[in-house]
Amino acid sequence: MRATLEDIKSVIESDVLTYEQKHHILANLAERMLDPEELLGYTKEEIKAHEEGVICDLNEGIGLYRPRYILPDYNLLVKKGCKFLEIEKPNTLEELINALMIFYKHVPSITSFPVYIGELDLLMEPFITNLDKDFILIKSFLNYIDKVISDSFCHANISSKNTKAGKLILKAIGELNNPTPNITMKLDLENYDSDLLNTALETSLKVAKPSFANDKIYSSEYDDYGIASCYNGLPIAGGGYTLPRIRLGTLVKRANSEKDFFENILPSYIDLMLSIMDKRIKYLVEESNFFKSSFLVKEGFISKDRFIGMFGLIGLSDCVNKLLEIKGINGVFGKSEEADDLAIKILEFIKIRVDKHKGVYTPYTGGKYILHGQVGASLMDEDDFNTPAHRISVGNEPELPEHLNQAAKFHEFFPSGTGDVFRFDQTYFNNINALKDILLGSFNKNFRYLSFYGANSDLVRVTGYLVKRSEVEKLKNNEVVRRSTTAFGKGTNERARVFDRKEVK
Amino acid sequence: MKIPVHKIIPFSNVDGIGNRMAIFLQGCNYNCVYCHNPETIKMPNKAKSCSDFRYYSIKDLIKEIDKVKAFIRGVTISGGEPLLYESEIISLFREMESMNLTRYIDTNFSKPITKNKELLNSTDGFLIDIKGYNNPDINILNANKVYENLDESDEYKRMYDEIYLNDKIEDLKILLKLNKVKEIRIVLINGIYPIKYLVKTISNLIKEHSDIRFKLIRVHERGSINKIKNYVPSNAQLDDLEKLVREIGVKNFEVTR
Repeated sequence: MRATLEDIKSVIESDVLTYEQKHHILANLAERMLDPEELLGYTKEEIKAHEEGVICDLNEGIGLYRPRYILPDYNLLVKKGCKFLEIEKPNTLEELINALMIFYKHVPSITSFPVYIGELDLLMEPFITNLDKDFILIKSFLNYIDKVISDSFCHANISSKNTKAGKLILKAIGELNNPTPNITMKLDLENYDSDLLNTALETSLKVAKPSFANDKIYSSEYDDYGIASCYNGLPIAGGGYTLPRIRLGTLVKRANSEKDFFENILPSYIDLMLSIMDKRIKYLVEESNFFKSSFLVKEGFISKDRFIGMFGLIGLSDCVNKLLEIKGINGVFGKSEEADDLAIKILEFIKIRVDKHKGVYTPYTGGKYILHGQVGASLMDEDDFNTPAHRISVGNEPELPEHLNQAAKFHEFFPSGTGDVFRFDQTYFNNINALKDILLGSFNKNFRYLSFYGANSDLVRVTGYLVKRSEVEKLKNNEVVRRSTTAFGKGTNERARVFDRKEVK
Repeated sequence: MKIPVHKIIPFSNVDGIGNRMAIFLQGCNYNCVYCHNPETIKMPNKAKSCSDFRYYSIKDLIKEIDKVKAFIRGVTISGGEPLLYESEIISLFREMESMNLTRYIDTNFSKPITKNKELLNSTDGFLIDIKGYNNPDINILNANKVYENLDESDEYKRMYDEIYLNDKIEDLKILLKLNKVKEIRIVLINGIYPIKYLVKTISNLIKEHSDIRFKLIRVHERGSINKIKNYVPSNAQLDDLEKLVREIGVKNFEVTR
């Protein structure tokens, strides 16, 4: 959580960071030099929870000066342009792309780059006039994003409607093979174009994207949503204020029995986390003046009323396994009914308690903070004992049918996002309908988000974002790499062996 | 009613289009030298140990299907030779009627299909492995070494029509009309049947049906290559066949070399 002068010095003197990376990290370190007791009013207990590793703020910062995730309403840009940036309302595809390129530079987030860049096919469709020329524009725009936004948490969405733009976008990402932008297709089970879906599935086998979001589920929870960063479902013209997380795998070690866990340990740390979230959001809204000064708010691209608080969880599987061990029961999360039932019991307990709490500045959800299946970051040793979100740890995965049936039980708990990732062998290229059946079947079982990739692709989905295996190799050899997410990917691979994810044959 | 099952693959992407459960039965009336599931050939009463297969009741199988129903398009019965267990399969397929899953059979086409109305009505699709004439067992191959190139003899072709091909064509025509043929495979092997004649006949039959997957597969023997090296079609033969099929106008076909 806190930073030191030593941290600053080692960043400045690093020989593996680019200027841009140093710049960004230094800013982060600066706000982490502030005293959370003083600035945010953290209690000693709340600080201790961070030090114990039970609560983790993902180094999000102490002097919060912008929301973690911002999802501007890009339709407004198309309708009105932007006064602050002196952008005129676009009339051609070229003008639209130019407007977006300029606008993106001014959309902040936790990464300093935009984590949501719009539902691109629907934005572009009215401006498609010439398929060949427009393809070149779109491909070069997508390449621009990869080269300028050096962070694969940047997320674009596409619909499942039959649009010319959608086809061009899929073709371009298949050819570019870039980690950025991350892409999700918002799949509407009742109204999707079959050919487009087939193309999207083939593309995902080839280049690990797009992923697929269950539009029916998200649309029932949000009036207008986008998928941002890893796989976070958030309101358009709003976003997420903050995302701290509880390491359930670490929390459980403090319990000496299941009773102790449910009666003392779990509720007390939930309450600490809720209080921490209140304080962070209060500071952001009341003290940082972001919502007073940002042009995004003034011109209506975002509204304070559409931001939500995200209550992150990680290490469910490790928590369950430990509790079963304490109870003297044989069973492993992912391969046992009893383990699944216990996991559901834990999630229901957390949800009930979190729902009861009146959060601050979040009228969109009626004051409730929303659970999030956090995918992990290797920040301390405790992350070794915390499997991402609700997932089964790599190496313990059952066969795919069991895995799908098991994972389906947990997606409903995480409206602000969770997802599962599966690696498929190349035979699925010859029978893409088989992959489609698996996707549609999963969504009918209330999966909210799925990612696929092919066993042989260089692009690999780590826990939510993409990295190139070849770039990770460079990092291992101490070469400078452009994308900060590569470093995350390397760390997560070393801890959770995600490159060795079980292959579905 | 019990069925001897060698293996169940809940998710298969090679037993018909889409994601399907593949159920491999134990026991086959053939002993093809190129079989890639040789463990399924022995009939249950002769199969070595109980690890080769186990009996499932219809109820058991329905239970297995139910577990993955949401994710599959249908079920394919393979093996072994499913049509050795016709009545059991009909029972299973009947039970599956309301499940909204397609029911396929992968068969060596050695038994008549369309004469059995119950079988025909309860099966949604057939994947057909046309053996060509006799069981391509290595002993039969050796005994059959009568003509070097069976396509050369008109007399042989006439006999072939009478003894084998005409019946198969009758069955196929009915199945094609009902749109129940999903895939046709022919393993290309010299010495048992007139390859070019068979491929030509089948191609002409299916050329309008672009949804049928037509696969021509050059024979590979399980184990050592020496036993069948005299029967393996040459590259020139394969090129010739590929050209023939394309000229006839079959769209959806592939040649595996």
